[in-house]
Amino acid sequence: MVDCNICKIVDNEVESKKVYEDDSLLAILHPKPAALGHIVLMPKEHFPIFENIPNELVIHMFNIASKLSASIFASMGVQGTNIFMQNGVPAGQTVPHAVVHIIPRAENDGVSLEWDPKTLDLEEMSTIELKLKEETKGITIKEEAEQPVMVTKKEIQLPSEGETKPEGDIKKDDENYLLKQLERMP
Amino acid sequence: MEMTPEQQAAMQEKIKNMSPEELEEFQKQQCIFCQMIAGKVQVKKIYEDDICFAILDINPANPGHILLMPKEHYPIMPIIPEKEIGYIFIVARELSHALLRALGVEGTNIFVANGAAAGQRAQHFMVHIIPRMDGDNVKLQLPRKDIDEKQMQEIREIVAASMSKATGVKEPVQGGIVHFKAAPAETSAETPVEKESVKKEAPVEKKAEVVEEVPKEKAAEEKKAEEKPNEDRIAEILKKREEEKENEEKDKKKQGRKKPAPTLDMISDLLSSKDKNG
Repeated sequence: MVDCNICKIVDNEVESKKVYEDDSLLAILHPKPAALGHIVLMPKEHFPIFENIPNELVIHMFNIASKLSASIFASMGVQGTNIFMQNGVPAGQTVPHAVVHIIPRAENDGVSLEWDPKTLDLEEMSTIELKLKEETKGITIKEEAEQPVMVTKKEIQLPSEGETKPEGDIKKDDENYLLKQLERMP
Repeated sequence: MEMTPEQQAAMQEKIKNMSPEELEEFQKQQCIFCQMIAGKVQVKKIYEDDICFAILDINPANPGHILLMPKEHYPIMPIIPEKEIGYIFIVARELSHALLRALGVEGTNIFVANGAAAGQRAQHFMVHIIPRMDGDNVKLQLPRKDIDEKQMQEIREIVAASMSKATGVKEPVQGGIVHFKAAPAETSAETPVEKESVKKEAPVEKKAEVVEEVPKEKAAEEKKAEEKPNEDRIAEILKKREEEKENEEKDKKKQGRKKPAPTLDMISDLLSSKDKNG
């Protein structure tokens, strides 16, 4: 077994600040965050890179990533979020365990996640297009991916009938948040 | 196509009076990516199915930079149905793999910007898949800041509560609990003591020293306790791994003859060797 710092966090051998946990995933606050509220979402099972993660877990992981993103929007009042994966050493991955970063953003927050666009000539562009098209021909997504996702098994707490009020409030918040989001668009 | 202030005002007035359905339709008409998907704008399309559409970015961070988007017009991520989010990222994984194979790169960044402050420039949700090479000079690095412990704790509580509300899943238990030992029967009074002792043993750097201090009997006991209830689980995991290996080998055979592009194993190995060094 590889000596993996992320697995140590999952196994509670290293202390962490957990914000979400279920049967297959754990999300913690990054100990050295890019911005306050920077979350690292990890599969509990050890997969070195994104390509190793099976369909079912990819579905679950990115739905939770989306919910984490929405949660920091709602609870911290941030202006944006980045969802970011570093896949492979040249991409900045430092631990051999695939994780997803969720990073809260604000205007002029000093976090630079923008790239300088490169210019390619038409021929170069066409060569890449052909090569990639050839590779993507083989992509077939298995049927299991099309089935609805069960987020959790046992732990869902169904609200009793008397508690419809708070649910309404949440929805209202969500709608407001969606509207605010639209206003922020360029 | 700059609009005069009068035209802008008229447009804004018009937008204000639109019904949600009309507004949605209007946004779609204005969206350049929807026009690409409809075939009205010429693009370098590299993948398409019923749900997704992927093209080469004309302003790439690196050659091969892919934009993957749902065909449906979703301005922001939270309104995308769960099923579709999952599907999009499965396709993202496949496209990332395709980049590794086709261009012989050794890594990819998967990048999503939600909101203008995060760098979102289009009102159509999309995922960037960016091929990466050593020394490619792409500025996609995460700064590492030191944050006050108390502030971190506060944020943790806020986010955990919000997440629990959004998913219905209980908030995670905090602190270091030795794996497999977390019996629900433990009283809350006992747990903190347990946590304390574990914390002392936990830090990575000190591990070598600690191991010597632990009495052999105790260590053996712990090992036993770990093994028993988890035999089934371990068997399951091993089985899964074996199946995965088989699948990977099949994949390898497929690729093997083409070219010596970096394989997933090579990329994984690179990571683990780096981990040991640093």
